[in-house]
Amino acid sequence: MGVFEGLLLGFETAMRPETLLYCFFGVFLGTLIGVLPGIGTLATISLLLPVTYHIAPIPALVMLAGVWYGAQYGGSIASILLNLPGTPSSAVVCLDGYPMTQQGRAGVALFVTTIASFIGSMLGILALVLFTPAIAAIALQFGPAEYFTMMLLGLVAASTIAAGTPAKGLAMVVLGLLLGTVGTDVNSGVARFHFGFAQLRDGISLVALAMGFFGIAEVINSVNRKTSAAIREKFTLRSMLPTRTDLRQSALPVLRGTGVGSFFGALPGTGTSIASFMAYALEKRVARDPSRFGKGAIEGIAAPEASNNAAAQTAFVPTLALGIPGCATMALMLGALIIHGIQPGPLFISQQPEMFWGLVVSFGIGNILLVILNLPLIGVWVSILRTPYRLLYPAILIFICIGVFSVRNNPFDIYIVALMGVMGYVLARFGFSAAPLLLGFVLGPLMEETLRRTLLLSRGDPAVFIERPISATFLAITAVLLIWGCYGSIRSSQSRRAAMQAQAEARSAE
Amino acid sequence: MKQKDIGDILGGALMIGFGIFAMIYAQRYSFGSVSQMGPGFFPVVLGGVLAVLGALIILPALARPGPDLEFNWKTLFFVIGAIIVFAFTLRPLGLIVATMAAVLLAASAERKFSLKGRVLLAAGIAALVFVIFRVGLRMNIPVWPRGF
Amino acid sequence: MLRIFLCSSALLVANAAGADTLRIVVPFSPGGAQDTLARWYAQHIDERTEYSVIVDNRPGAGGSLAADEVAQADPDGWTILQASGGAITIAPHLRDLPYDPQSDFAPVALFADTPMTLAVRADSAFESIEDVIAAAEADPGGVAYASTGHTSVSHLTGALLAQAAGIDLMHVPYQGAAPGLADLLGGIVPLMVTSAASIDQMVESGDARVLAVFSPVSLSNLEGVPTIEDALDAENLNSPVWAGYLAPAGTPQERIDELSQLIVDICEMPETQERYLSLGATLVCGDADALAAVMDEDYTRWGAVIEAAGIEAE
Repeated sequence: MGVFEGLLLGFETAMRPETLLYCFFGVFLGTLIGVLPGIGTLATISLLLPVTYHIAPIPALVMLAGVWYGAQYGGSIASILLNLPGTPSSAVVCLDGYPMTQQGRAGVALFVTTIASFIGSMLGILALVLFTPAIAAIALQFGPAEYFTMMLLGLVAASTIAAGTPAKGLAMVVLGLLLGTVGTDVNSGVARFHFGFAQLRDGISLVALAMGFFGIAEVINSVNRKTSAAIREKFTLRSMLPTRTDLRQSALPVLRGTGVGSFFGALPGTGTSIASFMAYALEKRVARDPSRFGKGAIEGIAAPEASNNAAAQTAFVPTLALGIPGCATMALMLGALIIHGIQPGPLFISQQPEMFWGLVVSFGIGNILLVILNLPLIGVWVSILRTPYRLLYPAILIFICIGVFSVRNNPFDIYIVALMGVMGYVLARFGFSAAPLLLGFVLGPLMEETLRRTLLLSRGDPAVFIERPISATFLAITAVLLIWGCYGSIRSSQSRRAAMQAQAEARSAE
Repeated sequence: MKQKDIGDILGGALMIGFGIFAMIYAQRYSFGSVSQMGPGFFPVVLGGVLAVLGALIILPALARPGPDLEFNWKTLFFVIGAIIVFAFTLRPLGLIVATMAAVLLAASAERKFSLKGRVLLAAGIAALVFVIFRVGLRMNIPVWPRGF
Repeated sequence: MLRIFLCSSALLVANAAGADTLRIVVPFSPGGAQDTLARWYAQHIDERTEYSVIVDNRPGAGGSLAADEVAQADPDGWTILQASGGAITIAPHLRDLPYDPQSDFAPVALFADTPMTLAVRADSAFESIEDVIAAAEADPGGVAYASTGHTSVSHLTGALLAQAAGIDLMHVPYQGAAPGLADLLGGIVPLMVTSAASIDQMVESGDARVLAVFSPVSLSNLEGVPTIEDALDAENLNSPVWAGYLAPAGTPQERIDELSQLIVDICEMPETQERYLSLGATLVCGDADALAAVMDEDYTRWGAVIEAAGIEAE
């Protein structure tokens, strides 16, 4: 079946009223949970899984996917207006989105992220359709050595853009990797760091950790802070229109972000968060004046948003083409397919053309719906955010608790949320950012597994990492980044000391 | 303004603490060899790296002034307390009671919030949660105290 | 959506009216093949009886959290465990458990069996199991096989094969079938012991071949593949991956018989047969005695394999 016939079949499937309805419901719910900090796609999709038993497989998947990519849109709204990431992948949008709000340019920021999201998604869908076979073939050639060095590169790259110094970012990555070792070791079956709790044999729940570090820590920071009332802007379409300069400045970053996102989304083990961090890091590196970043640079919101939306689409490549989920949410999608007796794999597209093309076209329709939901209806989402925080945060806390509980039906994980919340709050106060920790935590088990597997298969010969060309390339880039990071940290430490001293002197002179 | 960067010093010390703890605790797992790594290999190596990174964070911070640290202990107490109360009461007392208890406690973190407002909020959220999770999503979750 | 809403409120009312609820405890997260089967049975028990049925997912600790939950439940016949090998017949040989798999459960019914297979990439030099044995004899410990996890049925089946053939294989554990299959197809690891369900599609697409199956079954894609017993001309090498329902010990016999009859009836429906095929499982319906026999056989076999291979959990 050619691409054209495929799309035709897809239109037929996706335009059925039932499918359209679930598509709308999915993207609406996705935007809502994306807007609300502290409740994420993982929890929402696990809550919706039981519902899908009652629906035909195509509408069910269309709805779940809608929640997933819809949340990528909604996530940036809270990041921009409240400096509070609605989803982990939009955390990076805070860095330049919130300064734009402080400068009174919130409307422009929201417009640009929506358009960037839309373009990123549409091109991501194109990549999904055109490159699925090719990407599948490439990913199939990756062995454990390539996976390990690829993840190492990802972690080192991510920690260089952490809020503090590279040393703090790397420390958080390593702490995340250590938290990831909690639980049963894949290779030996030994349960590590379980301190006598049977529940810890399966490790710390990802949802509990993410909600503790991102949800709870943010709630504590936000109580008694007049953040929500601070949104005063009225969002008319006119106030949202970006200037010609804004558009010119964001055009290339959107395309670069889409490229970065499409690539990282399609690789198993990486995800939308890594994609948006990578896109931000890239923009900061290629910028003529990197010091604008963190102060409301429009590239700093356009590129990551294009990137995480493109990644959200191409994340379906390994899931559908190989049956290998790239991230926890995709694992749930895979589960939803299997519920209906559909096993994605190399034959998925030819055996389930209606499903594959229906999904692809529904992604397109869903994204158009999202633009409608996000631009003219932005006021609705803002008013949800404008609800006084004192009414909102107890509900958020309860949603977090129930969401965490529902993943494993286990109150133990709620205690873990409390513990992670305390850790996250204290570390954030010390100036340590949580995103690298989360990345380390997610990739840690896979990294350990691939490292051990590589050396097991090579019988202990570490040369295998540099003998394989792809792996050697990843390692070389990692080394360059580390040297760059050290150099940058020495320089910034010196300039920070100088700035502090100047400030202290100015004060004593008063 | 402090003479030293207290946040980095305490944070770095915390990292050294975590790192050394991991190294010592993981001694009980076999270390193995490079070709046959044991379950202790990765934690011990990571613990060592973390301790070194902690030291690298502390050293420059000693010679550098830094911002004051602010902790909102009261909010931390109420928010974390609410979570623990919810976890503790969910199984025996059910969703409604657990939600109301947790909301009442969590809402106490807010300074300007009347008792009546808090009770109304607790009831409202309990009803909302019941409708969304039990009725809407048919989640398998205890709703009322055991024995009812 | 409205329909679901109404359905669920109706269900809620039914519950409130005091109808009894059968709880099926499943040691897996929602979405997997095991969970799908549980929901299939839940739906049909629900349709055939007065009472409602809920599926209670309790994943964790290799299935032992769910098993412990049921072992401690009231033996009133309203709680059953969907059990398979791991927590019941493998875990007791490896570590101390809070429950005793031999005495804390009463078998109810057997309902599924997925055979293990020994698979290679389509262009592998291994044409038969004899080739594998010859290669392993030439290079002891150098021929690697992927499994779906440490002390999984897949791992132990590999150990069983090695013991029966008198060879030494390198065990490379993965987390579940999918990542192992990716490395098998990518040529990273030459062999994999995995269920027929997981390899089926790759055989059909011509990406993988199966050298032997560990159970005498006939799946359309595996026609002509020798069973391991035939290939090695040995006995007692079957490795069934069974699934069945267990009740807490002490559940009244007439209640067990009632549930057993119900489950076997559903199991024997033609629709169930189709459902199983789509999940790649083989249909075996059996009463409490059949399940008890399979469990006993499994328990003894894995005990011997674990001891002979010196496999440890901690």
